[in-house]
Amino acid sequence: MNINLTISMALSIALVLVLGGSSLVSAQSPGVTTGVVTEVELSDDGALTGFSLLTGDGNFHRFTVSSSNPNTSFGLENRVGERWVSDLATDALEAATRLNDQQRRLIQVSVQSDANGVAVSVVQAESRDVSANLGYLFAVVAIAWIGIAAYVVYLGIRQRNLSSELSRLRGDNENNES
Amino acid sequence: MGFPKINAQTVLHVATLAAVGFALWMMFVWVPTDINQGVVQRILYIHVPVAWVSMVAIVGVAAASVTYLITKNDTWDRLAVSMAEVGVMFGAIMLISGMVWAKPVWEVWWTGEAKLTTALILFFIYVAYLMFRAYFPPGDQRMRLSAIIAIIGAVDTPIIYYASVLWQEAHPPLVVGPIAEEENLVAAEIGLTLLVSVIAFTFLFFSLLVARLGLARMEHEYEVLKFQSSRITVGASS
Repeated sequence: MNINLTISMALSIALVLVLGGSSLVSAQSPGVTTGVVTEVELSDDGALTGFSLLTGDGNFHRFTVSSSNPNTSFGLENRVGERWVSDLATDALEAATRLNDQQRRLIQVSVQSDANGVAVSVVQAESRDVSANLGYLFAVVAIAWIGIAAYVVYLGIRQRNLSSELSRLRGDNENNES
Repeated sequence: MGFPKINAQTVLHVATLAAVGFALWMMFVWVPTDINQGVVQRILYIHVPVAWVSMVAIVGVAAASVTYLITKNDTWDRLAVSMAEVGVMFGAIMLISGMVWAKPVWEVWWTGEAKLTTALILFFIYVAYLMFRAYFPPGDQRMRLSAIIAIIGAVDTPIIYYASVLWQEAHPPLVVGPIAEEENLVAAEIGLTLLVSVIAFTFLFFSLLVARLGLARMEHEYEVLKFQSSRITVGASS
């Protein structure tokens, strides 16, 4: 049964590698634009109303924001790496402050938008990038499944050794009794 | 040519394989990428389930140990040591996966905060339990003392569970379960994938436990035969 388990684990590892590769493709969203913030538009009371991005191909993209359907969500880090996660309906003033900060620091952001150019989410580009931190995910998956597979193999080896020891002891006892 | 004999163990292993395969498909294909952490957030679907089974294991070790102390039946002792061995393996994966996840998210491999420290203590309890059993001579005294160690060690489990509530530090608060606050609940797809993954790893835990229990029975038989062999030898020489 342990050999069956080993085969099962090996198949699982193969499965995770195959599926992991395919997920990288499917996770790429066509509605995501990445670039640096060039302009932040504010209302009279200082709340965020829209912004523009300059992408790597030299094009400018303008986005509006919305506080309902979709309620634009944010995941932006400040200079010391503290992540602010909120949405426009909750804090439009802080959203403007954070985007201004991104503009000053020339940090790339990724914007997921709908068909009308309304930003659905605005996040730090690095974390939205599917390839970023992939090595860490691969490391965890590999460690977990190699660890489990190694334990199954270890159980199998111990079981085999014990089986031979048991046979030897049974034989010795029978000989001694006779 | 007849049908091969199908026993409960085979059914469990097949169910485990199916559950793990389905969970892998969900965690790498079906569930969307998290908006804040990106692809590295998928570590959640391994880290949380292995943490769950390692805590289930230590509670199981304690329950089996209590039952052994009451009944004095060796079977419960074998169940306890089998759970501890499988649990320590999952505990190690929990610690390593947590450290690897912490690096890109917190910029450090490890912090001395409560949740992590109590999880590390859990791992050391498992190791201490197994080391004690490995070095103490077999017999009633070993089973009794190791049962007491396991019961004391199980106290750590509720502390780990409530650590992120009691000491609010870098580790995120509970996102599922009865005491998770509504504002911290995860999105439906993430929650469903996590649930399936927890179920799959629970199946895997029981699959490995059954295999380890078979080995524990063989170890018991080996000790009995060795004892009989020494008695026969002593009897023959006298």
